[in-house]
Parts: sequence; structure tokens; C-alpha cells
Amino acid sequence: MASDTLFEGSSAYFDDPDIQLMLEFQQGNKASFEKLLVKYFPRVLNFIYRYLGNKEVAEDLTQEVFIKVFQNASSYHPTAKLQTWLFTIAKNMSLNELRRMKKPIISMEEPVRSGTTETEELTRQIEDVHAVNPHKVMVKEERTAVIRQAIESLPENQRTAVLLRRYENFSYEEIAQTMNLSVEAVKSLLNRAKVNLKESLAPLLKNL
Amino acid sequence: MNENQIRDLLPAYLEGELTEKDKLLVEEYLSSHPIMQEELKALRQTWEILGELPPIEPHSNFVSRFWTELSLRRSWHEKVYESLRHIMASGRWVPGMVTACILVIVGVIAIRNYQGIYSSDSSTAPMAKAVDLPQDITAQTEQKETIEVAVGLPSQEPAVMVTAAVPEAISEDEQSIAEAMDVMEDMELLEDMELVENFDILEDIELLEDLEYIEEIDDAETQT
Repeated sequence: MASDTLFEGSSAYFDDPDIQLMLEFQQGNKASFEKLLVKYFPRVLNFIYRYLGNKEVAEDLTQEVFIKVFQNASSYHPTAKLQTWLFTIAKNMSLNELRRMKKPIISMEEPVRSGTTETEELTRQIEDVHAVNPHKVMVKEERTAVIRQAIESLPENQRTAVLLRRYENFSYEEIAQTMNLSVEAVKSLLNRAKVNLKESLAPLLKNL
Repeated sequence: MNENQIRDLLPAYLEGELTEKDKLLVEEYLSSHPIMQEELKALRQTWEILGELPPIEPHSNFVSRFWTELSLRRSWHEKVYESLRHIMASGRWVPGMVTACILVIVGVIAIRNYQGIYSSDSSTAPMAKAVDLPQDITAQTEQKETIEVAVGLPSQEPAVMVTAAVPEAISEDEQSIAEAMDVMEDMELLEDMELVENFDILEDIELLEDLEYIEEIDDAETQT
């Protein structure tokens, strides 16, 4: 067991079982790393998939995340929960890939405006369908597509905050550590993201 | 608090992040403003709808695929280092070290035996090359040997045969050194011979000069 005085201010995290597995791996126990791999691979995969919207790319990047974890294990210091470190790597890789793919993204300062996003276009198509069959219930795949589009229309930071809060149940502090922001900044991001999502998902809200 | 301020607090209100004071203000406003209640409801439903996004499953053998990909990327020295580190960490290095030491000892013994076998197969004849010496020096050494034998002195090996007695088990390096030494000794002997010859010549010259001088004296005496 690693010394509690090894890393300043990190003794609180040594109770984290994931950190224990990581420390065991640092000592050469590959079985411990595999336990972490089995536990976090699906979570990181879904985070990246929801971020980028492409399953194949998400699988490749997820593998890259864990390869990076494996290769940089010796430099890992338990100053935060392991998942914080893990998702920081995943977030950075996703952001790099997003910029590489040169997807049209909305800037951090620019709000989602009606009539200028793909979501709005999709909304109009849905309304046209309802005009023909007003009692038709939207199929599940269509709802999923609308939700995915709503998330992808968010600015980078809002998207990250929403995915970590809604799907990974990160606390505000954990999100702040992952994104290198203050807790107040994270709360503000989430508030704006929810307002934007409410506008994007308005067609689905009408069907409730 | 006005309508916009209340609206800005709604997401935090849903999260339970408001102070007690702000929470009471929001609830008081909501109780008398149905439209704001609808906005709050919409925010709550929006957050719930996000849960309809289904997760995807990783490939069934993603673990083995990971190890395979990792193995392909690691350099050979990283793999060796990792193997050694694993052995040291697992405490299994002791039998490994013992095995390695045994292998080293066996290897050394095998090499020495191989060298011994190789050396025993070689010719036992003197390895030094014979140097063609001038006939005179050969004759002189033989003469010297004959004299020494005659007077009861232990006969010595001629200089050219100094390398005759060569041990059977001799390495190639030692053979080369012996040959070089033979050549050097021969060269020194030749140089000595040249000195002797030069000295002899000088003596002859001096003798001739002496003879000429004697003749001159005789002539001078005759004339007188």
C-alpha cells in the first residue's frame, strides 16, 4: 500500500478502490489494470460516442485512451479520483478528434439560435410529419436522433458538462477538476446547457 | 427578484443547489406564476429525456483486442523491460537467476572444453617458421655446438631452433606471438651478423692498412 505521505494532499483518495488498482498496476500487476479496463471501457466508450456521434471512431479513441493510461501509469499521482483522470484524457482526445473532423460547432459564447441549427431543420421536418399524421407517435429511433442532435449542437464545454453530469453522475467538483474550471463556472455551464437543450428538445416535450 | 432572475435560478433549483433563501424565493414566485411552473416542468423533462439516449456496447472481445493492439505498439526493449520487471515484482527472480548462473557456468565449461579439443587436434611440430639463415651463421652455430660437445659443455639449441620445443596445448594467439618472437630473434641475429661482418671488414681494412704501412716501412728501410 502506498504511503499516505507520498503525495501531498492526496491521502483522501487512497480509499478509492480504483486508485488501489492503479497503484497495484504501477507495481507491475497487469491483472489490476485489466480490472480497470473492464470497468471503465464501456463508460469511456459511451462518453466519447455521445460526444462525437460516431461509434467506430469512439471505439478507436477509447482504445487510445487506455493505451495512454497504460503507457503513462508511472506518472499517475492520485491527486483526484481515478475516473476524473480517466475522463480528462477521454475529454481531451474527443475534443482533438472533433476539431480534426472539423465538425461545425457552436462557439462557447454563441447561444443556440432558432432557425440556424440542424436541430431546427429537423424540428420542422417533424412538425410536417405531424401535420400529415397528428396522432402519430414518434418512433424511438427518431427521438434518439433528436436527442443526439441536441447534444451535438451544444458548445464544447456545455456538451462535456452535460455528459459528465447526466450520464456519468459526476459531482460539480469532479466536473470542475476534469474540465479545469471552478465549481461556479461548471454550474453556470450546466444552467446554460439545460436552457439550450430545452429549446432543442421542444418537439419531444410537446409529445409528452 | 424579477422574472428573468427567477428563470436563471430554475436549473440550479432543479439540482438542489440553491441556498435556502433563494429556494424560498423561487418557490414563492412559482406558486403565483403558472407559466414559470411550465418552464420548470420543461427543464425537468428535458433532463429526463436525455436518459432515453441508449448506451452502446463495446465489442465482445475488447479486452483481448486492447492487449493485442498494445503489444503491437511496444518496442522490443519495452517488452523485455516489462518482462524483467514482472519477474522481479513477482518474486520469481531467484530461480531465474539460479538458472542463468547455471547456464553461464555450463557455457564456460563447454567453451573451455571446445578450446581444449581444438588445440589437441593441431600439429605438434614446431610452429615457428624456419628462417633461412645465411650458410655462414649456420655453420658457425654447428661448429660452436661441436666445440661445446667436445669440451663437455651442454649443447645448446641453435638460435634458429629456439622455438623447437612447443607445448602441445597452445592457442592460436600464443602461436602468433611465438612466431613473431622468432622473427624478431632472427632479425636481431641478422643484425648481429651484419655487425660482425662489418667488424670483420673493418678489421680487414685495418689489417690491410697495417700491411701497407709495414711495406712502406720495409721499403723505406730497404732504401736506406
